[in-house]
Amino acid sequence: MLLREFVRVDWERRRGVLLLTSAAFALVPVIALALLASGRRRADGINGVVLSQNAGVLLMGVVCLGALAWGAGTWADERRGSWIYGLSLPLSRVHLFGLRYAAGLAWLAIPLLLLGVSAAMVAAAAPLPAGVYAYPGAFFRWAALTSWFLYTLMFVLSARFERPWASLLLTVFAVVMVGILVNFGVFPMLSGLVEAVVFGTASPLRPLTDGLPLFSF
Amino acid sequence: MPLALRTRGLCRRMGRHFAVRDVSLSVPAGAVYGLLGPNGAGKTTTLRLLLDLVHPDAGEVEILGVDARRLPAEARRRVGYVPERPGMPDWMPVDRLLRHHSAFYPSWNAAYAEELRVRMGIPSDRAARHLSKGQAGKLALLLALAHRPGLLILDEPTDGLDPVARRDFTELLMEYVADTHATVLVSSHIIHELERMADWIGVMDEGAMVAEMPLEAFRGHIKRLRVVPSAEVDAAALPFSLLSRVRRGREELWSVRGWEPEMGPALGGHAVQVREVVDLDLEECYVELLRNRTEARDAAA
Repeated sequence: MLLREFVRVDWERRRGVLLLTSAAFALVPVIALALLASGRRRADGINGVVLSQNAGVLLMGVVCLGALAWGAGTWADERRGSWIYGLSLPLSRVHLFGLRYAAGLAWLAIPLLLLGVSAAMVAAAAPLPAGVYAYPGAFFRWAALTSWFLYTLMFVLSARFERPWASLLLTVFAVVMVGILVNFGVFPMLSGLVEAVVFGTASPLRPLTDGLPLFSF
Repeated sequence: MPLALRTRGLCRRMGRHFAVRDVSLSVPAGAVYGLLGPNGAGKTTTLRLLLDLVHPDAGEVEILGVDARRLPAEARRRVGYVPERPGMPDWMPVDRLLRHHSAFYPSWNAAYAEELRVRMGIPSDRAARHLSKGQAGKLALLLALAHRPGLLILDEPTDGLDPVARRDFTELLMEYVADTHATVLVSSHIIHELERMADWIGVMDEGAMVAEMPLEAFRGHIKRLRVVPSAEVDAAALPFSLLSRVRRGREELWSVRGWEPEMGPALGGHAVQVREVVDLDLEECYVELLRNRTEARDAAA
């Protein structure tokens, strides 16, 4: 009952963002394959491969950005009202957070579903260029996992910080710095621990740090 | 006396300073309790602590007999809250906002809500952010009343409203209280208004509770005396606290706290003749009480 109300409010408040994200997600497989195909047609050498890889990375960026934007907009109402209205409702904080999270996730499933359907249709309709061996299943799985992870990250950041995008950039910067420290072997014990947590097999960052099979030639 | 609300030793820090320091407050069930205090006294923070919107650093809060931090949803549904600034999702049209709000309250009375909306003159199709300040204030009250709560917590609800809107607001509130015998805790700067509604008064200053008593006791407690001292008076020896003292020729005007009628004749022993005992209204009592605290603070500084 309450979840339905949260889902409805999400639709009324940010259907524009949702529709835009859905359209972008649905177009990603189409554009990705078109670019890959044109890249491989234009050159047999490394340039064509690099071009198509860069285009692929850009399109992955669209998926990431869509999920981030969706997560960042979750708490806009609460923020505008200094959290007073939301927290004064007869719900525990856990319940409120759970409902908001679930409602956002339910809507995020739509662009992802569109992406999956679009990927399947593209794969069925067009011959895949040589080297593209993980379409559409692995691509969809990557998009779903990454979107879920980034949505959750931004959901948490926007609940906690006034400027979620700035805090995201700081987080990314921190991760990069950790990566550099690990690579240079500064503070070996700490580096080992961080490496295990951030880049280890059980790390939640795994979907981001792993390569995407679609673009592995 | 059953209590609807009770706090003990409530503390909340904001940075290095205490926003609320050792506040103990008791609101009897069925009372209209007026919380007074200058800007920055800690009233809003106290009300937010009561509702667990912010967590206390120390102390305890009981609402309707239950620890506020463990207040179940059913108990929270029996509380209506009008915040200092309405933070509702203001992009929603009023009728949608009412439907949204009603989803959280099984006891929501849609007919009563509609009746209030019409009476308050709030247009149903206008987005809440396009309402006038008076309409927004009334809408906040509507949202707090339509589920018929037994406890109302109002944080400066009429602040910034014009006199007509303020009067409408107060009348609606008093009507509701007369109907339901709800307990009301209301903070306000508009003391005359509070004087018409409240039967209990709490005064906060600098984050602390400095007085809490029934309104009549508060008014009876602080008096202005027109006296003629025949010798130098030792203020410390007087049977009440001398809040302020103004010379007018041979006479002096004293504002005193802790006055009892039988003290008049006894003052002869202190070389003081009481010519008149003047009743003060709530605002004068409040001003005298706070002025004395400010002077004492200045003197200490």
